[in-house]
Amino acid sequence: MRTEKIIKGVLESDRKVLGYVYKKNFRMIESFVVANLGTTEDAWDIFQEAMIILLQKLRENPEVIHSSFSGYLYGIGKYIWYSRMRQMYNEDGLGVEWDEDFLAKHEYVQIVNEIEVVASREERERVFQEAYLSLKTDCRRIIEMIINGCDIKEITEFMNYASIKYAFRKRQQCRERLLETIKSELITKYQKQ
Amino acid sequence: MKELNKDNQIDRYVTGKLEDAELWEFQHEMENDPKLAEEVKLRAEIYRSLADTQKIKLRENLKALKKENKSGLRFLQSWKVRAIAASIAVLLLVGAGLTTSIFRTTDNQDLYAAYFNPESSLLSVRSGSASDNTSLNLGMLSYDQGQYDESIEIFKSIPDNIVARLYCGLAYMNVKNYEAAIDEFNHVLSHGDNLFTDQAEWNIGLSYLADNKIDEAKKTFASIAGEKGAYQQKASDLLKELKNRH
Repeated sequence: MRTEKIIKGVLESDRKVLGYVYKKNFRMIESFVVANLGTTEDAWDIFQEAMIILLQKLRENPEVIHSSFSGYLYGIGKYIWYSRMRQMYNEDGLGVEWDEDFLAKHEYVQIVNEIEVVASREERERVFQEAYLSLKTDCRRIIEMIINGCDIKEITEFMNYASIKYAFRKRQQCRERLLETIKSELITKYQKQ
Repeated sequence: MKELNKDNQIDRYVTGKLEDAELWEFQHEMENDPKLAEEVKLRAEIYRSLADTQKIKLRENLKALKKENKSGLRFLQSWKVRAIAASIAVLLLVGAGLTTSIFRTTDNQDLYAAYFNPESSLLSVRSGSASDNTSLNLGMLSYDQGQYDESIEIFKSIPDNIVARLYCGLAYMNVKNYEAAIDEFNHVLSHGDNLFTDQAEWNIGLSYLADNKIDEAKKTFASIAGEKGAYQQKASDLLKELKNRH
């Protein structure tokens, strides 16, 4: 598949293209993560976050990929995993060996310069969006309506609720669930750092 | 109730629905209440992020992809388990004798498949020269994409690179050329680099096993099991299974 087609597919979140990207790249990221104290589950996480950062970078500049798509995605994945490992182990003084040769490589330095700011911003966004995705469908719909500035009458009608009182309660429940999940995740995250 | 109203008011402020006097009052309140100001800031940040439907859609689709691939793997694993169970049942029914010895090869292949994990053998790249790294990366890329013959060709172009020799051996294993694989791993062993010797030795044992050279395989695994190394436990387990069968 041509790089242009892959980029278009990522921007449109095309399932077929995402399947192709996974098939061509996941094993490579998994190999790297597993060889560096991670698990396959960690590798999934890294693959997903690398794709999200890539989407962000592509939106800012569709020509951000200088060489191959796979190489760029792999570079982002490595950066995320190294960052996490530094956070997790450096303070504890555990002996993680850094691949300094790789870190000093020109292509990698270029990728790091390009994604460093985006990556740290994405970490927070990830907490928000994952909390949202963990909600049930009706709650997600209500949150969507709150964000779009809908009032309680509109929510009652759209969700086909029997009364405004019920809609009030439901709106409050959904918002609380979202905010509580986010806040507890943020607290855990900062405690770790 | 007051709390509830405040929550709604924050939402209305963040989504631009507060007007006139209420807006002015709210802004004034925020100036005097840093906690409220902080809450408003966080809420705005969250809602801005959740309004990014393109990114949320990508996250959702990647999650679905993960689910699909994990269930595919589970299916494969359960299929393998069923296949192994079925072959054991056949063995029990048919009994001892010639049939058993024919099926032994299949057993060893099953053992080999259960223990051979090329992914876990992969290491981050270290090399002395930049040109070596380019070829090594290219070779790794081909390897990861399952183009083993092509990766062997690339690895062969950098015979002095010890990582390339290790990968080359793994690639040979994938194309079932076990003798060539053992040559590559022996080279890694003779180099004496401690980072890779464990893996080289372990894969020599597996290559013997796949090639049905059971005595050599047993010797290799016994040697690994007798020393403290990354594969000590695995070698000991595999050795037990081999002894039960042969």
